[in-house]
Amino acid sequence: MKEKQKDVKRTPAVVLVLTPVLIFLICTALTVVIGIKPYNKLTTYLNIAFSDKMKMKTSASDVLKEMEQEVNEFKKEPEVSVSDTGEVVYPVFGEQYATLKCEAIDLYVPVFWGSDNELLKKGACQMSASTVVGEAGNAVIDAHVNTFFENLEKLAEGDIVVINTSYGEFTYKVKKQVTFVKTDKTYIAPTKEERLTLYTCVKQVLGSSDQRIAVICEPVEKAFYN
Amino acid sequence: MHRLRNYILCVLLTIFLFFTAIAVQGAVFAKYSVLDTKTYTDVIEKENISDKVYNTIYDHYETEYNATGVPIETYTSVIDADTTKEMVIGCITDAFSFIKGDSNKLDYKICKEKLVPLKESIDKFFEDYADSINYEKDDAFYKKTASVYEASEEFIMDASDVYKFLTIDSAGYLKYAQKVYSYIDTAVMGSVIATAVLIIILIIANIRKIVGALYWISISAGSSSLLIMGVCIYLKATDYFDRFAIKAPPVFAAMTGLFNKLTDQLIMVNAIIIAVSLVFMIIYIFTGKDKTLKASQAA
Repeated sequence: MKEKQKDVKRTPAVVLVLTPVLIFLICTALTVVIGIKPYNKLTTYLNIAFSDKMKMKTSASDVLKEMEQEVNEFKKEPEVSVSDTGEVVYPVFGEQYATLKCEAIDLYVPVFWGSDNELLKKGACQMSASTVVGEAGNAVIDAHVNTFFENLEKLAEGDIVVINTSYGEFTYKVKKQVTFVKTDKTYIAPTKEERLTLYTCVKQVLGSSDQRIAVICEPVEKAFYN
Repeated sequence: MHRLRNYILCVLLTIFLFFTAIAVQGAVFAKYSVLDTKTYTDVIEKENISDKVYNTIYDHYETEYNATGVPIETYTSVIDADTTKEMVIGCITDAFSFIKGDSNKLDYKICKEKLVPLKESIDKFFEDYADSINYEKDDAFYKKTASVYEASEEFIMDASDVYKFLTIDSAGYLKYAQKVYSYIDTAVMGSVIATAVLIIILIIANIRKIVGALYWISISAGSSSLLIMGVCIYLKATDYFDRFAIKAPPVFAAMTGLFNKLTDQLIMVNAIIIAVSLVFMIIYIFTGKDKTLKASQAA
């Protein structure tokens, strides 16, 4: 009888309840310890594969909100006074120092200082041998005909071209359009008078083109930020 | 003393069982889900990836027209939405036949076969164009047509490879996947045997009251599933995968779709395991209670 009672003697309820909790905690702790290295490795791989500041944000929608906010802030009119004269800021190679806008051909493109294949993929490039916009001389800006300057040939005399920089806004008027061979440097050489030259290749389906098309613009308004 | 020794033994066995349960889940999940072509093709269907790829190809050649002068019809006349779908699925099939060791090289044979008409279309366009302007077909001409086709083949195959198997392969990870695949059956078998052995030992340890084994099994299975499900729920609740910064929409949809699908599958499987564990626990509680009542009545 005593043996039978011993047989059916039940484990206390507290032990029955606490055992699963303790085992779960022990196992979780062990898993965390074992998993630290693989987790770090995995995180590194994920960062390499999908790295971007978006991963650091709480969600993609947060990033979109931030971008929207940045755009709205950019849209705000600057409360600064302007004058005809002022000082230009010399950019460094590869820096986006201006934006080029021309409503006539629906053009809005960033302008980088210096010119190479990578920069030409991002926007228009200004030859570093030419003059910084706002100074006397020839400011020469080029871009690919297949990307940003695809409609350059449509610019007509009298069309307005605006260049915005960190130091001012400069408005030009199209004076003429010319075509020249790529070895001819007449239109991209330095000049005494202030002007803006936009140029690109003449579109060619087969092979590359030796012909260049340039739009020569003269300044009509200068607004240096004070 | 005997009871305490038995209790400690059961706790240790349960902890081991916890890890073998995770190993079984991992191995079975890898074999039947992660390394199964169907998982990937289902995501393609569900997320409408092939349409997104087609749009990417279309947009690219529409933009490129300004650069190359090659009209978009040259491409769209031979590559439609259905061909794109076949190419996207072909990339997955090719990648998995490489992982499974059926082919020695990841060369996207299916994709390349689908692009044969494109070469003819590009050649035809350039021939017609050259004839229309009386262009003498010199070496430069054939070089140009070949380079346009090569660039097109590269772009279209890259766009169709939404899971980026080629990139993964060039980084050497597909070879690693090949290795994993070759051992996956052994891993499934090994983890199942280890789990079965531990369960048998648990039953032997509870031989005087076999239903007690259900208690310990439910703890290990329930705990491992709770842990896995907790991680999965965290990933879903925080939209972890949606935060991946992948710029190409088809790749983003494919990758996040795949990760979400795998997470959903894990949540579902583990929810079932937790439910079964609860049933085991309830059986243990009620069977034990009945026994106690009967024993006290007998006394």
